[in-house]
Amino acid sequence: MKIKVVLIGHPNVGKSVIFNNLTGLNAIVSNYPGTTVEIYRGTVKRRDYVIDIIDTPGTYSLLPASQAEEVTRRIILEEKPDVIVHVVDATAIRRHLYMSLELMELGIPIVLAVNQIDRAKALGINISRKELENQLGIPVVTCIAVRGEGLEALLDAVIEAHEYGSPTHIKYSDDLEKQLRVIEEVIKEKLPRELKRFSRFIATLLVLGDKEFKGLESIVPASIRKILSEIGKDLILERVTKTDNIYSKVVTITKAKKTKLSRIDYISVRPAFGIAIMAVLTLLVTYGILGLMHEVGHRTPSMLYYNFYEPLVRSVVEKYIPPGIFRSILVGEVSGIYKSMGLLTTGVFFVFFMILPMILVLYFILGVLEDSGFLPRLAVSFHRPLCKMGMTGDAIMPCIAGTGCSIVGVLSTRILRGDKERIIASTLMVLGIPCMAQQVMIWHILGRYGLIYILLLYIILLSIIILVGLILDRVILGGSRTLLIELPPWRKPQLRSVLKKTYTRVLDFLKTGVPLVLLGILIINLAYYTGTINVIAELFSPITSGLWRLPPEVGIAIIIGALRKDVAVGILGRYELSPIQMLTAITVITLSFPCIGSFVIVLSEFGIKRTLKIIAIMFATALTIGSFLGLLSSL
Amino acid sequence: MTGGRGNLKLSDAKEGRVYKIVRVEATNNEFARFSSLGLVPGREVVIHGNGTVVMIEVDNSILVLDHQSASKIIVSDHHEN
Repeated sequence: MKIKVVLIGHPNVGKSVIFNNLTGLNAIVSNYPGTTVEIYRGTVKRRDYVIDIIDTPGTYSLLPASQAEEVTRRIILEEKPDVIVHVVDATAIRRHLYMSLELMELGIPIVLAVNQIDRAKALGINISRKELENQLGIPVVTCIAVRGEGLEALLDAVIEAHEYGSPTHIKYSDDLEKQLRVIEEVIKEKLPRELKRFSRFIATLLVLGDKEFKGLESIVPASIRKILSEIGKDLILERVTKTDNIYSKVVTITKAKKTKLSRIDYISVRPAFGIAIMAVLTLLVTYGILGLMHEVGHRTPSMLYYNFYEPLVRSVVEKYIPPGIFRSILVGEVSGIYKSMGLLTTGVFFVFFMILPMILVLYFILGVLEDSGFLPRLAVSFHRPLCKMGMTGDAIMPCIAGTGCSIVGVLSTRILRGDKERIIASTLMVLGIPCMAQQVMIWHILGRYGLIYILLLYIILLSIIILVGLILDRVILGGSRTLLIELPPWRKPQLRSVLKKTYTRVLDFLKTGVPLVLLGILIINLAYYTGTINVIAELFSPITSGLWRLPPEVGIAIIIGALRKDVAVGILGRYELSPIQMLTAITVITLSFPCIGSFVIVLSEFGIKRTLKIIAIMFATALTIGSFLGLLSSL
Repeated sequence: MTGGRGNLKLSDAKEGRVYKIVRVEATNNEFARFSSLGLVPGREVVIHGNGTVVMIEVDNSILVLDHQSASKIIVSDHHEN
């Protein structure tokens, strides 16, 4: 027999730990249909049951404030789970109970999983499981997910809940119940068949002002419609009173309260100081390692390449494949990393010797940052300055993801609440934040001229981001400045989780990035082999040499930038450029177009009109900044 | 308002003090969100910082909110921390 279970809870309560522990390695990640929000599905066997488990994005309320939260609600309404497991953090159980009451309106069997019970005990918070069960009328299980304790009991409780059927929803005061029943009855008629069973739940959404079901308001009798908002307020207040009652019966506190704050948390609310410290910390760790790797790692791969790899590949290919276009595609006409542009020579070197080792390390660092609880703190520090650029502190999280890859960054803007904020964050990301693979290439290519040029490039890009952000805030109207964020406790990142993330991201680079890297190299190779390069150079020379003061052939690198920017930067290695020229070329490659991957994502997220606007902004910025740098280089 | 017995907005609250939430003046949508985070009448809030944003502790969790959101929460001067 099958039981379909959905895991629900606030962010950072240990939902995913429970999920991973229960389902092991057989979990499948997919985007929820019609959205780009990732959800995880897995299976576990217990007694005679096959239990299918769906893990949902962390959610504070069933009244969604972001697309990620919308997905959670859609999963409940559309997937028809047999049982909901509500995961809560034992150390802050009172506020989680509000959501338990919200979930109980659904009429779906619920199991409450009270996680981190050990930490609660250490803090002197004692929770009576039996009493909580009595009060709520649903099975309650305590667990310590990181140690796997209590998870078998959780599965048994799921089976029990499934066998016993739905919980009765909570009972409010007579007046409120009567009003809700009137609403429920009239909307039941209008609801599509599959939603009829949720009529009670939808009635509560309606009085709370939910956007999706707002259309139903018009059919509510006028006498009630008039006071809909008051009913909503009563509903919230009655829920709060119920939570407080349950809490006082279930929890006893035996120790004086201790704050969860650490020194650094105080610092993170102090604007200027906070930003300075947080930013310096991040940069030091990330770029310290990048710099070190560049120093250590640059010579070794080149040495390996010239002494062993290329001679070997070249001799084999030249032995079996006659001279001609095919041989040229594989190993190029001349030797050298940047000269040959063969798939087996330059292609393999770019991917496996240059990009891969470094992005492995960088993605690992990104994973550690994400799992440590650092990013929400960064969001707090950056709230004020980001407000001036039309965003809120929350936008820092997608932007950090964007330093890995704009595709991921643009997708994660879905956690943001405002449309304006989403479009500005996405524009700034594709415009001025180079992806990890491109940054690695920049370090290789620009690093040869000295670290100062890398620093200069970052200063230029940062200034552009700030300037364009300030302008966009004034051009795009509306937007919200609200910030309401929870700071999770600092956590020691779990090696397993960080490795898993790194693995997924690197695999993604191998699957979707590498074919494009190779395609880029192939195009260059053919452009040189067929002589098309001269036509292209000629065509774009008014811009490349006229405005940007670069050799005309560099135009090809900028065009390849529309495919993959890391290859585009890599190609620059074959030209003899002055430091300022190299800086100009890399700047315009970064600014001028989105790469094909980010283009597709921006298009699907924002539609053709806004995508074209973004590209126009990019190209205009590239023209201006490139011309300015061009002037500098000709001085 | 400075340290009196009266009510004040959370956005005007003083660092290092403990207050009690008296009421919330927001739309139901916002109020529901506040409620799921523990920002409801009757709860105690500790003010850990009030600068560009307000950092508070409520129900054993640390929350950070902007001044505009914080101004929708009315608190009473409870006692000193």
